[in-house]
Amino acid sequence: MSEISHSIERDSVIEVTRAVCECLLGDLAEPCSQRRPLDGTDELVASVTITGVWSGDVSVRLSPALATRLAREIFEIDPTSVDEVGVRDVLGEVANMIGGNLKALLPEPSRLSLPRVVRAPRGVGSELTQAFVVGSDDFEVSVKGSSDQPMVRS
Amino acid sequence: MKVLIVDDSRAMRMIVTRTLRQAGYGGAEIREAENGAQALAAIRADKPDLVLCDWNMPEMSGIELLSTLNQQGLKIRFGFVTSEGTDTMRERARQEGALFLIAKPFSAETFGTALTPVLGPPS
Repeated sequence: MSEISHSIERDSVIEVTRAVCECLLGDLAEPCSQRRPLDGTDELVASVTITGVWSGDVSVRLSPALATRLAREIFEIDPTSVDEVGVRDVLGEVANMIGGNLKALLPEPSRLSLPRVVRAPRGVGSELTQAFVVGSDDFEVSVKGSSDQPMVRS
Repeated sequence: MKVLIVDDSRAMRMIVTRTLRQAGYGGAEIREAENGAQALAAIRADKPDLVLCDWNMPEMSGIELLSTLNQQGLKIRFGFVTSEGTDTMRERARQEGALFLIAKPFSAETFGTALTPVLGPPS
């Protein structure tokens, strides 16, 4: 993971995401080929933008149930006490940590945006979309280069 | 011992507090700030023994805070806890006088290694 590349590799996404998940949840996320079908609800998507030699977005997409579990674990509170603000805060930090670590693998200089979190239906995967399973939940991390710099290797 | 944790994410402030405890520094008196500007006011009001600061924040970033502290002659033990641990950022942090840069994700061992030379061994 230490080699500087002009693209973001799938192995880097897997390595960084597993480390972040272990830090936040105490569980290792295992990469998987695809996610389970959605139960009809919107998902939460947290994203950061990297701007530099490589520019694009790094996004984390997960179910409200897993988002609530993350917030519950981090804030050490019961599920009924988890509010939307807390969930968005936690997801933003997840995207910030994954995006920041991937940015560190790219040539400098580059900048990382503050995270943003939205609710959205499940969409079509990006150039690089990696699914993970953690416990009984799954989620995905995607990387999408800007239109003029689609330098992502899958 | 007073430690000021500066991060725009409440979740990350809690994680840093928990990791301090796991590293053996649970006796520290924790103060919090959401950005560099808020931290600057907190430091002026009640000088902490150590500032643990995120880099990328709204209002005033971590490096802008450290630079401002230097310009105003406020000598504070200062370390970064950030998701962006590039060589350039580490060098800039060092030049501004930061004692360490801990990259997220981190462990209690990472905290122990960085903090022991600054705060002494954990109790």
